Amino acid sequence: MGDEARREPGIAVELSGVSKSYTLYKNDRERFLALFHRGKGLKTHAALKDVSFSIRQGEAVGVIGKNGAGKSTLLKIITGVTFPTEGEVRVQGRVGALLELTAGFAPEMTGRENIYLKGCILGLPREQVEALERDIVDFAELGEYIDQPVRTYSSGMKMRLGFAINVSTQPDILVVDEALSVGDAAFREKCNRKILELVGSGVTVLYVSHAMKSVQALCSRVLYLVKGKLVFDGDVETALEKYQKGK
Amino acid sequence: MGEIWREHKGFGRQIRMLAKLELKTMFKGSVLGSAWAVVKPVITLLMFWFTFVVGIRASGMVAGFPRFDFMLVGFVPWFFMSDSIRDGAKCIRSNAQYVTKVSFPVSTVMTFTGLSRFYIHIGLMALMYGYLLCMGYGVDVYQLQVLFYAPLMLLFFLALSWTTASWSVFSKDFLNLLRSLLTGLFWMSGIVWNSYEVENPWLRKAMLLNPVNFFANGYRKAFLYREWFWEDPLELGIFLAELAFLLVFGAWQYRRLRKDMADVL
Repeated sequence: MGDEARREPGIAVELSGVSKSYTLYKNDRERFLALFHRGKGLKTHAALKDVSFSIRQGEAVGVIGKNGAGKSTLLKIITGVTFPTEGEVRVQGRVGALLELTAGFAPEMTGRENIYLKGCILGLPREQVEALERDIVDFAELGEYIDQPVRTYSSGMKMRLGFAINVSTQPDILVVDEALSVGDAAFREKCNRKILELVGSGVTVLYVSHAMKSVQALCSRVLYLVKGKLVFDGDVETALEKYQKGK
Repeated sequence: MGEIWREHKGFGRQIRMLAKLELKTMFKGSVLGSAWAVVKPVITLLMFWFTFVVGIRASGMVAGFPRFDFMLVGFVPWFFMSDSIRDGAKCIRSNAQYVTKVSFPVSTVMTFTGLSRFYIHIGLMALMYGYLLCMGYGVDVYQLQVLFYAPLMLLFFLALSWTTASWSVFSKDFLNLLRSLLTGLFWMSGIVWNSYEVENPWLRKAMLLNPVNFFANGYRKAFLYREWFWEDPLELGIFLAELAFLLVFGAWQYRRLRKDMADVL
């Protein structure tokens, strides 16, 4: 977090001139040699090109674009999983990600133990996790399965637990990537309501989806990406129109 | 080393929890569970002892001590060293989710992996000590040196994993190379034989370059020889130079490669 971002209390996420290129290794040999020359001279794929925008605290912003437009890369950069090749990223506050809900569980541990593990990794004090535990268990609707090892869970159960943990740990910024295809219709509806509730409570939300209806329902602003470039940043209607026309 | 230090700051509780989880995962699903941490090394040790004493009819004594006791005190740190070298190198790969799915202080993966193996080491050491007491070795002040050697061993192999784990992310070849070298390292080091008794004086000096010898002999100084670690300043000096090099080089490699890890894994 830079000093500038701290001086501007209203900004939650700010990207300036962010580009990201992935090195394309032809084979294992190239990957091995990259240890020494860091992939210089190899083919690269530009996933993001000179992207700049800022998001104020409490805004709900949709990110749309076709497959391969750079949406996931953008979210990964904001969540701090991958790093920009050029440019600067400033994120103010803790990011909770609904990206891959079933990832990051310790399969041998019970659902309850995983709540503590996740809380611990996120740096939450034990008392806070204890206070959240009941909410998480209730929201995930796992019943007595919460004390069974996660490896025995169905993928829907894992997703529910993942969703419940991520939204309950009170992030300042919530990043959602198509996560709403969670379990059955009733639970999906519950998740939608929870996200709306979070938007209402002032959490900053970044929402990536192909489902235009939910973008319209949740977001007040849309970023439209085409081949790694930010081609539109503004109101939802115009963005969706452009997207549908394929501009 | 700044980056690694920053990543560890305030993460101590998480590291201990993840180390415990690592142990739990390691032994889950077997009837004997954590007993395997002891059974496996004991079987290995007995096999080697049998090979030497019964098979190749080597002398029953080494450096004035029964061969079994001599080997035991070398083997206990070796088990930690070999686990640390092998698992330390592959730890980022086996915990790829912490790199590719969440924002995580990746250098702590090496720390909790090393720490989990260190917990096993403490257990084995306690058993070894119990055995030595039963064999009439007695309690003395030299044994306190283990408080010097054991944490230093953890630090040394942690620093080594900063390099090996970072490199292994990029290349499995490196991992395989390391695995193949491990057996060689075992036989080249004074675990089952005494590196201080090499006839050729040059070779004997060269043995000091091997950090595995530093620890195997260090444990023997503490538990068998009753010598202080500072009595051979050359041995100590060489080791400390190697440690300093690994700390600096490892931190540099980690810093250099960290940002590319998520893209390569």
